[in-house]
Amino acid sequence: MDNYSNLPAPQEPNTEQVGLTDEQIIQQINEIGNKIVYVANNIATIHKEIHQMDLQFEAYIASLNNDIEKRKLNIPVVSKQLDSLNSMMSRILDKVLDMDVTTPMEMEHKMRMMEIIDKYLNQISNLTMRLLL
Amino acid sequence: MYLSNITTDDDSLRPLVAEVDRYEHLVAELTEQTMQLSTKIANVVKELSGIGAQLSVLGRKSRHQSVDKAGGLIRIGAALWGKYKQHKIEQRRTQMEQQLEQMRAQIASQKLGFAVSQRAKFAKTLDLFAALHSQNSTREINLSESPTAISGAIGLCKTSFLLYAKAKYLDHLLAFVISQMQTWSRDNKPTTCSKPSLSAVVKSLISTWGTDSDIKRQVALCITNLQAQQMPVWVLFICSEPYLLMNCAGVCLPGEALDCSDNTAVIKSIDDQISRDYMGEQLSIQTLNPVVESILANNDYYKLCKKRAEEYSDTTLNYNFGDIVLFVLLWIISSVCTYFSFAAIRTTYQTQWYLIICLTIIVLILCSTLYFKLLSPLRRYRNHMERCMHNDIEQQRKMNKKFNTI
Repeated sequence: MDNYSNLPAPQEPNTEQVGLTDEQIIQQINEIGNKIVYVANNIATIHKEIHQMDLQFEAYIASLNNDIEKRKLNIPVVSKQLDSLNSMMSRILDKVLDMDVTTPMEMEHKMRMMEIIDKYLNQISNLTMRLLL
Repeated sequence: MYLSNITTDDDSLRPLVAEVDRYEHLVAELTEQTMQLSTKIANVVKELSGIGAQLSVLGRKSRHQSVDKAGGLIRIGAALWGKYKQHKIEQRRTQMEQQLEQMRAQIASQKLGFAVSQRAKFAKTLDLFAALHSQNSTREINLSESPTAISGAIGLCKTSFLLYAKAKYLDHLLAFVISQMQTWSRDNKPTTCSKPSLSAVVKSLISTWGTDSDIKRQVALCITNLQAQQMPVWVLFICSEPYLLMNCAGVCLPGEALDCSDNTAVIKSIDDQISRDYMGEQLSIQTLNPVVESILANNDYYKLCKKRAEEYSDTTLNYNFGDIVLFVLLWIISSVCTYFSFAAIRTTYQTQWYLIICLTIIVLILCSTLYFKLLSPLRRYRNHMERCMHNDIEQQRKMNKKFNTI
Protein backbone atom coordinates (compact mmCIF):
# COMPACT_ATOMS: atom_id res chain seq x y z
CA MET A 1 0.00 0.00 0.00
CA ASP A 2 1.60 3.22 -1.13
CA ASN A 3 -0.10 5.68 1.21
CA TYR A 4 2.49 8.41 0.93
CA SER A 5 2.58 8.54 -2.91
CA ASN A 6 -0.41 10.88 -2.85
CA LEU A 7 1.16 13.23 -0.34
CA PRO A 8 1.52 16.88 -1.40
CA ALA A 9 4.99 17.77 -2.56
CA PRO A 10 6.94 19.75 0.04
CA GLN A 11 6.71 23.48 -0.49
CA GLU A 12 9.51 24.85 -2.62
CA PRO A 13 11.28 27.76 -1.02
CA ASN A 14 11.02 31.20 -2.53
CA THR A 15 14.41 31.55 -4.22
CA GLU A 16 14.20 35.31 -4.36
CA GLN A 17 13.98 35.55 -0.60
CA VAL A 18 17.63 35.05 0.36
CA GLY A 19 19.66 35.94 3.35
CA LEU A 20 18.57 35.23 6.94
CA THR A 21 19.52 36.77 10.20
CA ASP A 22 21.22 34.56 12.82
CA GLU A 23 18.13 34.76 14.95
CA GLN A 24 15.95 33.46 12.13
CA ILE A 25 18.38 30.64 11.44
CA ILE A 26 18.40 29.63 15.13
CA GLN A 27 14.61 29.76 15.17
CA GLN A 28 14.37 27.54 12.10
CA ILE A 29 16.94 25.10 13.47
CA ASN A 30 14.96 24.95 16.70
CA GLU A 31 11.79 24.27 14.75
CA ILE A 32 13.50 21.50 12.75
CA GLY A 33 14.88 20.04 15.98
CA ASN A 34 11.39 19.89 17.48
CA LYS A 35 10.06 18.22 14.38
CA ILE A 36 12.87 15.68 14.46
CA VAL A 37 12.02 14.82 18.07
CA TYR A 38 8.35 14.47 17.13
CA VAL A 39 9.17 12.22 14.16
CA ALA A 40 11.57 10.16 16.26
CA ASN A 41 8.81 9.62 18.80
CA ASN A 42 6.45 8.55 16.05
CA ILE A 43 8.99 6.11 14.65
CA ALA A 44 9.53 4.67 18.11
CA THR A 45 5.76 4.26 18.52
CA ILE A 46 5.55 2.49 15.16
CA HIS A 47 8.31 0.10 16.14
CA LYS A 48 6.67 -0.50 19.50
CA GLU A 49 3.34 -1.28 17.84
CA ILE A 50 4.95 -3.62 15.33
CA HIS A 51 6.66 -5.39 18.20
CA GLN A 52 3.40 -5.55 20.18
CA MET A 53 1.58 -7.00 17.16
CA ASP A 54 4.31 -9.59 16.76
CA LEU A 55 4.15 -10.53 20.42
CA GLN A 56 0.38 -10.83 20.40
CA PHE A 57 0.51 -12.97 17.31
CA GLU A 58 3.29 -15.15 18.65
CA ALA A 59 1.34 -15.67 21.87
CA TYR A 60 -1.73 -16.77 19.91
CA ILE A 61 0.34 -19.07 17.72
CA ALA A 62 2.02 -20.50 20.81
CA SER A 63 -1.36 -21.23 22.40
CA LEU A 64 -2.55 -22.85 19.17
CA ASN A 65 0.64 -24.89 18.98
CA ASN A 66 0.15 -25.93 22.57
CA ASP A 67 -3.43 -27.01 21.79
CA ILE A 68 -2.28 -28.94 18.74
CA GLU A 69 0.47 -30.70 20.67
CA LYS A 70 -1.89 -31.52 23.53
CA ARG A 71 -4.46 -32.86 21.12
CA LYS A 72 -1.81 -34.90 19.31
CA LEU A 73 -1.00 -36.62 22.59
CA ASN A 74 -4.60 -36.87 23.79
CA ILE A 75 -6.35 -38.13 20.66
CA PRO A 76 -4.95 -41.70 20.71
CA VAL A 77 -5.52 -42.05 24.47
CA VAL A 78 -9.03 -40.57 24.38
CA SER A 79 -9.92 -42.59 21.27
CA LYS A 80 -8.99 -45.78 23.09
CA GLN A 81 -11.02 -44.77 26.14
CA LEU A 82 -13.96 -43.84 23.96
CA ASP A 83 -13.77 -47.13 22.10
CA SER A 84 -13.84 -49.14 25.31
CA LEU A 85 -16.66 -47.00 26.77
CA ASN A 86 -18.61 -47.30 23.55
CA SER A 87 -18.27 -51.06 23.38
CA MET A 88 -19.24 -51.48 27.05
CA MET A 89 -22.23 -49.22 26.56
CA SER A 90 -23.28 -51.11 23.43
CA ARG A 91 -23.10 -54.41 25.30
CA ILE A 92 -25.31 -53.10 28.10
CA LEU A 93 -27.66 -51.58 25.52
CA ASP A 94 -27.98 -54.95 23.79
CA LYS A 95 -28.81 -56.58 27.12
CA VAL A 96 -31.36 -53.91 27.99
CA LEU A 97 -32.99 -54.30 24.60
CA ASP A 98 -33.34 -58.04 25.14
CA MET A 99 -34.87 -57.64 28.60
CA ASP A 100 -38.54 -58.48 28.79
CA VAL A 101 -40.04 -56.53 31.66
CA THR A 102 -43.36 -57.38 33.21
CA THR A 103 -42.95 -57.01 36.95
CA PRO A 104 -42.00 -53.82 38.87
CA MET A 105 -38.80 -55.57 40.01
CA GLU A 106 -37.74 -56.18 36.41
CA MET A 107 -38.61 -52.62 35.55
CA GLU A 108 -36.44 -51.35 38.36
CA HIS A 109 -33.59 -53.55 37.17
CA LYS A 110 -33.96 -52.25 33.63
CA MET A 111 -34.05 -48.69 34.93
CA ARG A 112 -30.83 -49.23 36.85
CA MET A 113 -29.16 -50.61 33.71
CA MET A 114 -30.34 -47.56 31.80
CA GLU A 115 -28.90 -45.29 34.48
CA ILE A 116 -25.54 -47.00 33.94
CA ILE A 117 -25.90 -46.39 30.22
CA ASP A 118 -26.62 -42.75 30.99
CA LYS A 119 -23.38 -42.49 32.97
CA TYR A 120 -21.44 -44.03 30.09
CA LEU A 121 -23.08 -41.69 27.61
CA ASN A 122 -22.24 -38.66 29.77
CA GLN A 123 -18.62 -39.76 29.96
CA ILE A 124 -18.47 -40.28 26.20
CA SER A 125 -20.05 -36.86 25.56
CA ASN A 126 -17.71 -35.09 27.97
CA LEU A 127 -14.58 -36.75 26.64
CA THR A 128 -15.52 -36.14 23.01
CA MET A 129 -16.49 -32.53 23.51
CA ARG A 130 -13.50 -31.73 25.73
CA LEU A 131 -11.25 -32.82 22.91
CA LEU A 132 -13.19 -31.15 20.13
CA LEU A 133 -14.33 -27.87 21.59
CA MET B 1 -36.83 -33.83 36.97
CA TYR B 2 -38.03 -32.04 33.87
CA LEU B 3 -36.63 -32.23 30.36
CA SER B 4 -35.35 -28.68 30.68
CA ASN B 5 -32.63 -30.00 32.98
CA ILE B 6 -30.67 -31.19 29.94
CA THR B 7 -27.69 -28.98 29.14
CA THR B 8 -28.77 -26.01 27.06
CA ASP B 9 -27.66 -25.68 23.44
CA ASP B 10 -25.61 -22.54 23.84
CA ASP B 11 -23.47 -23.82 26.70
CA SER B 12 -22.23 -26.87 24.90
CA LEU B 13 -21.37 -25.03 21.70
CA ARG B 14 -19.83 -21.95 23.25
CA PRO B 15 -16.18 -23.14 23.21
CA LEU B 16 -16.28 -24.10 19.53
CA VAL B 17 -17.97 -20.86 18.53
CA ALA B 18 -15.49 -18.96 20.73
CA GLU B 19 -12.56 -20.61 18.97
CA VAL B 20 -13.88 -19.68 15.52
CA ASP B 21 -14.67 -16.17 16.76
CA ARG B 22 -11.19 -15.80 18.29
CA TYR B 23 -9.58 -16.75 15.00
CA GLU B 24 -11.74 -14.44 12.93
CA HIS B 25 -11.25 -11.63 15.43
CA LEU B 26 -7.47 -12.03 15.23
CA VAL B 27 -7.46 -11.92 11.41
CA ALA B 28 -9.62 -8.77 11.46
CA GLU B 29 -7.39 -7.22 14.14
CA LEU B 30 -4.26 -7.97 12.10
CA THR B 31 -5.71 -6.26 9.03
CA GLU B 32 -6.80 -3.28 11.13
CA GLN B 33 -3.43 -2.99 12.87
CA THR B 34 -1.44 -3.15 9.61
CA MET B 35 -3.68 -0.50 8.08
CA GLN B 36 -3.15 1.78 11.08
CA LEU B 37 0.58 1.22 10.90
CA SER B 38 0.60 2.06 7.15
CA THR B 39 -1.15 5.34 7.89
CA LYS B 40 1.29 6.15 10.68
CA ILE B 41 4.27 5.39 8.42
CA ALA B 42 2.84 7.62 5.70
CA ASN B 43 2.51 10.42 8.27
CA VAL B 44 6.12 9.99 9.39
CA VAL B 45 7.26 10.07 5.76
CA LYS B 46 5.29 13.30 5.32
CA GLU B 47 6.90 14.81 8.41
CA LEU B 48 10.38 13.77 7.31
CA SER B 49 9.79 15.21 3.84
CA GLY B 50 8.70 18.42 5.52
CA ILE B 51 11.92 18.51 7.56
CA GLY B 52 13.94 17.82 4.41
CA ALA B 53 12.18 20.64 2.57
CA GLN B 54 12.68 23.00 5.48
CA LEU B 55 16.40 22.14 5.60
CA SER B 56 16.70 22.73 1.86
CA VAL B 57 15.11 26.17 2.24
CA LEU B 58 17.34 26.95 5.17
CA GLY B 59 20.42 25.85 3.21
CA ARG B 60 19.51 27.95 0.24
CA LYS B 61 18.66 31.00 2.32
CA SER B 62 21.79 30.77 4.41
CA ARG B 63 23.83 29.88 1.30
CA HIS B 64 24.96 26.54 2.76
CA GLN B 65 24.84 24.04 -0.10
CA SER B 66 25.59 21.08 2.18
CA VAL B 67 22.47 21.80 4.27
CA ASP B 68 20.42 22.09 1.09
CA LYS B 69 21.76 18.72 -0.07
CA ALA B 70 21.13 17.19 3.35
CA GLY B 71 17.50 18.31 3.10
CA GLY B 72 17.21 16.65 -0.30
CA LEU B 73 18.79 13.50 1.05
CA ILE B 74 16.38 13.41 3.99
CA ARG B 75 13.44 13.63 1.58
CA ILE B 76 14.77 10.79 -0.55
CA GLY B 77 15.66 8.77 2.57
CA ALA B 78 12.19 9.29 4.05
CA ALA B 79 10.53 8.07 0.85
CA LEU B 80 12.79 5.02 0.72
CA TRP B 81 12.28 4.28 4.44
CA GLY B 82 8.51 4.56 4.00
CA LYS B 83 8.54 2.18 1.07
CA TYR B 84 10.73 -0.27 2.94
CA LYS B 85 8.58 -0.19 6.08
CA GLN B 86 5.35 -0.57 4.13
CA HIS B 87 6.80 -3.51 2.30
CA LYS B 88 8.00 -5.06 5.55
CA ILE B 89 4.62 -4.69 7.21
CA GLU B 90 2.81 -6.15 4.22
CA GLN B 91 5.26 -9.00 4.16
CA ARG B 92 4.74 -9.65 7.88
CA ARG B 93 1.00 -9.56 7.49
CA THR B 94 1.09 -12.09 4.65
CA GLN B 95 3.46 -14.22 6.67
CA MET B 96 1.14 -14.10 9.69
CA GLU B 97 -1.89 -14.96 7.59
CA GLN B 98 -0.06 -17.88 6.03
CA GLN B 99 1.04 -19.06 9.45
CA LEU B 100 -2.54 -18.79 10.72
CA GLU B 101 -3.81 -20.70 7.70
CA GLN B 102 -1.33 -23.46 8.40
CA MET B 103 -2.33 -23.64 12.05
CA ARG B 104 -5.98 -23.63 11.14
CA ALA B 105 -5.46 -26.43 8.64
CA GLN B 106 -3.59 -28.44 11.28
CA ILE B 107 -6.37 -27.93 13.87
CA ALA B 108 -9.03 -28.71 11.29
CA SER B 109 -7.35 -31.93 10.17
CA GLN B 110 -6.89 -33.07 13.80
CA LYS B 111 -10.46 -32.35 14.82
CA LEU B 112 -11.95 -33.48 11.54
CA GLY B 113 -10.22 -36.86 11.64
CA PHE B 114 -11.23 -37.46 15.24
CA ALA B 115 -14.82 -36.27 14.78
CA VAL B 116 -15.37 -38.30 11.61
CA SER B 117 -14.05 -41.51 13.18
CA GLN B 118 -16.03 -40.99 16.41
CA ARG B 119 -19.22 -40.25 14.52
CA ALA B 120 -18.79 -43.40 12.43
CA LYS B 121 -18.19 -45.51 15.56
CA PHE B 122 -21.11 -43.91 17.34
CA ALA B 123 -23.56 -44.57 14.48
CA LYS B 124 -24.21 -48.17 15.55
CA THR B 125 -24.75 -47.17 19.18
CA LEU B 126 -27.16 -44.48 18.05
CA ASP B 127 -29.25 -47.16 16.31
CA LEU B 128 -29.39 -49.10 19.57
CA PHE B 129 -30.60 -45.98 21.39
CA ALA B 130 -33.26 -45.52 18.70
CA ALA B 131 -34.41 -49.11 19.20
CA LEU B 132 -34.53 -48.63 22.98
CA HIS B 133 -36.54 -45.44 22.60
CA SER B 134 -38.98 -47.13 20.26
CA GLN B 135 -39.28 -50.22 22.49
CA ASN B 136 -40.03 -48.26 25.66
CA SER B 137 -42.32 -45.62 24.22
CA THR B 138 -44.67 -47.50 21.95
CA ARG B 139 -45.76 -50.08 24.56
CA GLU B 140 -49.49 -50.07 25.30
CA ILE B 141 -50.29 -49.51 28.96
CA ASN B 142 -53.34 -50.97 30.61
CA LEU B 143 -54.72 -48.28 32.89
CA SER B 144 -56.05 -50.90 35.29
CA GLU B 145 -52.48 -51.97 36.09
CA SER B 146 -50.94 -51.01 39.42
CA PRO B 147 -49.78 -47.37 39.79
CA THR B 148 -46.22 -48.63 40.41
CA ALA B 149 -46.22 -50.51 37.11
CA ILE B 150 -47.62 -47.51 35.24
CA SER B 151 -45.15 -45.03 36.75
CA GLY B 152 -42.35 -47.55 36.11
CA ALA B 153 -43.32 -47.76 32.44
CA ILE B 154 -43.43 -43.97 32.17
CA GLY B 155 -40.04 -43.77 33.90
CA LEU B 156 -38.55 -46.23 31.39
CA CYS B 157 -40.07 -44.29 28.52
CA LYS B 158 -38.67 -41.02 29.84
CA THR B 159 -35.19 -42.39 30.51
CA SER B 160 -34.89 -44.00 27.10
CA PHE B 161 -36.23 -40.79 25.52
CA LEU B 162 -33.60 -38.70 27.33
CA LEU B 163 -30.87 -41.18 26.46
CA TYR B 164 -31.78 -41.08 22.79
CA ALA B 165 -32.07 -37.28 22.86
CA LYS B 166 -28.61 -36.96 24.43
CA ALA B 167 -27.11 -39.45 21.99
CA LYS B 168 -28.72 -37.74 19.01
CA TYR B 169 -27.59 -34.34 20.24
CA LEU B 170 -24.02 -35.64 20.54
CA ASP B 171 -24.30 -36.92 16.98
CA HIS B 172 -25.52 -33.49 15.82
CA LEU B 173 -22.67 -31.80 17.66
CA LEU B 174 -20.18 -34.08 15.94
CA ALA B 175 -21.80 -33.33 12.58
CA PHE B 176 -21.57 -29.61 13.35
CA VAL B 177 -17.89 -29.86 14.32
CA ILE B 178 -17.19 -31.82 11.13
CA SER B 179 -18.90 -29.19 9.01
CA GLN B 180 -17.09 -26.33 10.80
CA MET B 181 -13.73 -28.00 10.39
CA GLN B 182 -14.43 -28.78 6.75
CA THR B 183 -15.16 -25.08 6.33
CA TRP B 184 -11.82 -24.26 7.96
CA SER B 185 -9.91 -26.64 5.79
CA ARG B 186 -11.63 -25.44 2.61
CA ASP B 187 -10.77 -21.76 2.98
CA ASN B 188 -13.86 -20.35 4.64
CA LYS B 189 -16.50 -21.86 2.39
CA PRO B 190 -19.89 -21.29 4.04
CA THR B 191 -20.95 -24.13 6.32
CA THR B 192 -23.99 -26.17 5.29
CA CYS B 193 -24.71 -27.76 8.66
CA SER B 194 -27.04 -25.85 10.94
CA LYS B 195 -26.22 -25.22 14.58
CA PRO B 196 -27.43 -28.18 16.65
CA SER B 197 -30.42 -27.55 18.85
CA LEU B 198 -31.65 -29.71 21.67
CA SER B 199 -35.26 -28.62 21.25
CA ALA B 200 -35.06 -29.59 17.55
CA VAL B 201 -33.76 -33.02 18.61
CA VAL B 202 -36.63 -33.41 21.09
CA LYS B 203 -39.14 -32.42 18.41
CA SER B 204 -37.67 -34.92 15.96
CA LEU B 205 -37.99 -37.67 18.58
CA ILE B 206 -41.59 -36.69 19.25
CA SER B 207 -42.32 -36.92 15.54
CA THR B 208 -41.45 -40.63 15.65
CA TRP B 209 -44.76 -41.15 17.49
CA GLY B 210 -46.89 -39.59 14.78
CA THR B 211 -47.79 -36.36 13.10
CA ASP B 212 -48.52 -33.22 15.12
CA SER B 213 -52.27 -33.67 14.83
CA ASP B 214 -52.04 -37.37 15.78
CA ILE B 215 -50.13 -36.48 18.93
CA LYS B 216 -52.57 -33.72 19.89
CA ARG B 217 -55.54 -36.03 19.27
CA GLN B 218 -54.03 -38.85 21.35
CA VAL B 219 -53.18 -36.53 24.25
CA ALA B 220 -56.65 -34.99 24.13
CA LEU B 221 -58.18 -38.46 24.14
CA CYS B 222 -56.05 -39.45 27.10
CA ILE B 223 -57.17 -36.41 29.09
CA THR B 224 -60.83 -36.42 28.15
CA ASN B 225 -61.70 -40.06 27.61
CA LEU B 226 -62.85 -41.43 30.93
CA GLN B 227 -63.51 -44.91 29.58
CA ALA B 228 -60.03 -45.40 28.09
CA GLN B 229 -58.46 -48.68 29.17
CA GLN B 230 -55.37 -48.91 26.95
CA MET B 231 -52.97 -46.08 26.29
CA PRO B 232 -49.58 -45.91 24.54
CA VAL B 233 -47.00 -45.09 27.17
CA TRP B 234 -45.66 -42.06 25.24
CA VAL B 235 -49.04 -40.33 25.65
CA LEU B 236 -48.80 -40.66 29.42
CA PHE B 237 -45.19 -39.50 29.22
CA ILE B 238 -46.29 -36.31 27.41
CA CYS B 239 -48.91 -35.78 30.10
CA SER B 240 -46.20 -36.03 32.76
CA GLU B 241 -43.87 -33.49 31.17
CA PRO B 242 -44.72 -29.75 31.21
CA TYR B 243 -42.33 -28.96 28.35
CA LEU B 244 -43.85 -31.63 26.11
CA LEU B 245 -47.44 -30.79 27.07
CA MET B 246 -46.95 -27.13 26.32
CA ASN B 247 -44.73 -27.29 23.24
CA CYS B 248 -45.22 -30.69 21.66
CA ALA B 249 -48.87 -31.42 22.35
CA GLY B 250 -49.67 -27.74 21.90
CA VAL B 251 -51.85 -27.34 24.96
CA CYS B 252 -52.15 -23.67 25.79
CA LEU B 253 -53.68 -21.77 28.66
CA PRO B 254 -57.43 -21.17 28.50
CA GLY B 255 -57.04 -17.40 28.37
CA GLU B 256 -54.84 -17.54 25.30
CA ALA B 257 -56.53 -20.48 23.68
CA LEU B 258 -59.85 -18.70 23.58
CA ASP B 259 -58.23 -15.78 21.88
CA CYS B 260 -56.04 -17.63 19.41
CA SER B 261 -57.32 -19.50 16.40
CA ASP B 262 -55.15 -22.55 17.06
CA ASN B 263 -57.36 -24.13 19.70
CA THR B 264 -56.11 -27.55 20.63
CA ALA B 265 -58.28 -30.50 21.42
CA VAL B 266 -57.62 -30.35 25.15
CA ILE B 267 -58.44 -26.72 25.36
CA LYS B 268 -61.41 -27.27 23.09
CA SER B 269 -63.02 -29.18 25.94
CA ILE B 270 -62.72 -26.11 28.14
CA ASP B 271 -64.03 -24.07 25.24
CA ASP B 272 -66.98 -26.44 24.90
CA GLN B 273 -67.64 -26.04 28.57
CA ILE B 274 -68.03 -22.31 28.06
CA SER B 275 -70.46 -23.00 25.21
CA ARG B 276 -72.45 -25.23 27.57
CA ASP B 277 -72.45 -22.48 30.14
CA TYR B 278 -74.17 -20.27 27.59
CA MET B 279 -76.94 -22.82 27.53
CA GLY B 280 -77.18 -22.71 31.28
CA GLU B 281 -75.52 -26.05 32.01
CA GLN B 282 -73.09 -26.23 34.88
CA LEU B 283 -70.34 -28.79 34.36
CA SER B 284 -67.21 -29.47 36.36
CA ILE B 285 -63.92 -28.51 34.70
CA GLN B 286 -62.74 -31.77 32.95
CA THR B 287 -63.48 -34.97 34.74
CA LEU B 288 -60.43 -37.18 34.39
CA ASN B 289 -59.55 -40.81 34.45
CA PRO B 290 -58.05 -41.29 37.97
CA VAL B 291 -54.79 -42.74 36.57
CA VAL B 292 -54.36 -39.87 34.12
CA GLU B 293 -55.37 -37.40 36.81
CA SER B 294 -52.63 -38.65 39.14
CA ILE B 295 -50.09 -38.25 36.32
CA LEU B 296 -51.30 -34.78 35.43
CA ALA B 297 -51.33 -33.79 39.11
CA ASN B 298 -47.51 -33.74 38.99
CA ASN B 299 -47.39 -31.60 35.87
CA ASP B 300 -46.94 -27.95 36.82
CA TYR B 301 -48.02 -26.74 33.42
CA TYR B 302 -51.29 -28.68 33.49
CA LYS B 303 -51.92 -27.48 37.04
CA LEU B 304 -51.54 -23.93 35.77
CA CYS B 305 -53.95 -24.64 32.91
CA LYS B 306 -56.47 -26.12 35.32
CA LYS B 307 -56.13 -23.20 37.71
CA ARG B 308 -56.89 -20.80 34.88
CA ALA B 309 -59.90 -22.85 33.84
CA GLU B 310 -61.17 -22.94 37.43
CA GLU B 311 -60.59 -19.22 37.75
CA TYR B 312 -62.90 -18.85 34.80
CA SER B 313 -65.68 -20.88 36.38
CA ASP B 314 -65.23 -19.06 39.70
CA THR B 315 -65.28 -15.62 38.17
CA THR B 316 -67.85 -13.57 40.07
CA LEU B 317 -70.50 -11.66 38.21
CA ASN B 318 -69.97 -8.29 39.94
CA TYR B 319 -73.37 -6.69 39.23
CA ASN B 320 -73.31 -2.93 39.38
CA PHE B 321 -75.85 -0.07 39.43
CA GLY B 322 -75.96 -0.02 35.62
CA ASP B 323 -77.17 -3.63 35.60
CA ILE B 324 -80.05 -2.83 37.99
CA VAL B 325 -81.08 0.24 35.92
CA LEU B 326 -80.96 -1.86 32.75
CA PHE B 327 -83.03 -4.60 34.36
CA VAL B 328 -85.69 -2.17 35.74
CA LEU B 329 -85.86 -0.43 32.35
CA LEU B 330 -86.38 -3.79 30.62
CA TRP B 331 -89.15 -4.63 33.09
CA ILE B 332 -90.93 -1.22 32.69
CA ILE B 333 -90.81 -1.42 28.87
CA SER B 334 -92.20 -4.95 28.83
CA SER B 335 -94.93 -4.02 31.40
CA VAL B 336 -96.04 -0.94 29.44
CA CYS B 337 -96.15 -2.99 26.24
CA THR B 338 -98.25 -5.65 28.01
CA TYR B 339 -100.64 -3.00 29.46
CA PHE B 340 -101.32 -1.44 26.05
CA SER B 341 -101.67 -4.80 24.38
CA PHE B 342 -104.33 -5.91 26.86
CA ALA B 343 -105.99 -2.50 26.85
CA ALA B 344 -106.74 -3.12 23.22
CA ILE B 345 -108.52 -6.39 24.07
CA ARG B 346 -112.18 -5.93 25.06
CA THR B 347 -112.64 -7.50 28.48
CA THR B 348 -114.05 -6.28 31.76
CA TYR B 349 -111.92 -3.76 33.61
CA GLN B 350 -111.24 -6.16 36.50
CA THR B 351 -110.29 -9.14 34.29
CA GLN B 352 -108.04 -6.83 32.29
CA TRP B 353 -106.10 -5.83 35.42
CA TYR B 354 -105.78 -9.48 36.58
CA LEU B 355 -104.38 -10.44 33.20
CA ILE B 356 -101.96 -7.49 33.22
CA ILE B 357 -100.65 -8.35 36.69
CA CYS B 358 -100.25 -12.07 35.80
CA LEU B 359 -98.49 -11.33 32.52
CA THR B 360 -96.25 -8.70 34.09
CA ILE B 361 -95.08 -11.33 36.59
CA ILE B 362 -94.48 -13.80 33.74
CA VAL B 363 -92.52 -11.14 31.81
CA LEU B 364 -90.54 -10.36 34.97
CA ILE B 365 -89.61 -14.03 35.36
CA LEU B 366 -88.72 -14.28 31.67
CA CYS B 367 -86.57 -11.13 31.89
CA SER B 368 -84.69 -12.31 34.93
CA THR B 369 -84.13 -15.73 33.32
CA LEU B 370 -82.87 -14.08 30.18
CA TYR B 371 -80.67 -11.68 32.07
CA PHE B 372 -79.24 -13.83 34.85
CA LYS B 373 -79.19 -17.23 33.17
CA LEU B 374 -78.39 -16.42 29.57
CA LEU B 375 -76.31 -13.27 29.88
CA SER B 376 -74.41 -14.12 33.04
CA PRO B 377 -72.02 -16.61 31.38
CA LEU B 378 -71.25 -13.96 28.79
CA ARG B 379 -70.58 -11.45 31.54
CA ARG B 380 -68.50 -13.95 33.47
CA TYR B 381 -66.54 -14.80 30.35
CA ARG B 382 -65.90 -11.11 29.75
CA ASN B 383 -64.77 -10.60 33.37
CA HIS B 384 -62.48 -13.61 33.08
CA MET B 385 -60.97 -12.40 29.84
CA GLU B 386 -60.37 -8.96 31.32
CA ARG B 387 -58.59 -10.54 34.24
CA CYS B 388 -56.60 -12.83 31.96
CA MET B 389 -55.53 -9.97 29.76
CA HIS B 390 -54.47 -8.00 32.81
CA ASN B 391 -52.27 -10.81 34.17
CA ASP B 392 -51.24 -12.40 30.90
CA ILE B 393 -48.05 -10.58 29.93
CA GLU B 394 -46.31 -11.18 33.23
CA GLN B 395 -47.71 -14.71 33.54
CA GLN B 396 -46.75 -15.59 29.97
CA ARG B 397 -43.19 -14.39 30.60
CA LYS B 398 -42.91 -16.49 33.75
CA MET B 399 -44.51 -19.48 32.07
CA ASN B 400 -42.17 -19.35 29.05
CA LYS B 401 -39.21 -19.15 31.37
CA LYS B 402 -40.41 -22.11 33.38
CA PHE B 403 -41.69 -24.50 30.74
CA ASN B 404 -39.96 -23.42 27.58
CA THR B 405 -36.28 -23.51 28.37
CA ILE B 406 -34.91 -26.62 26.81
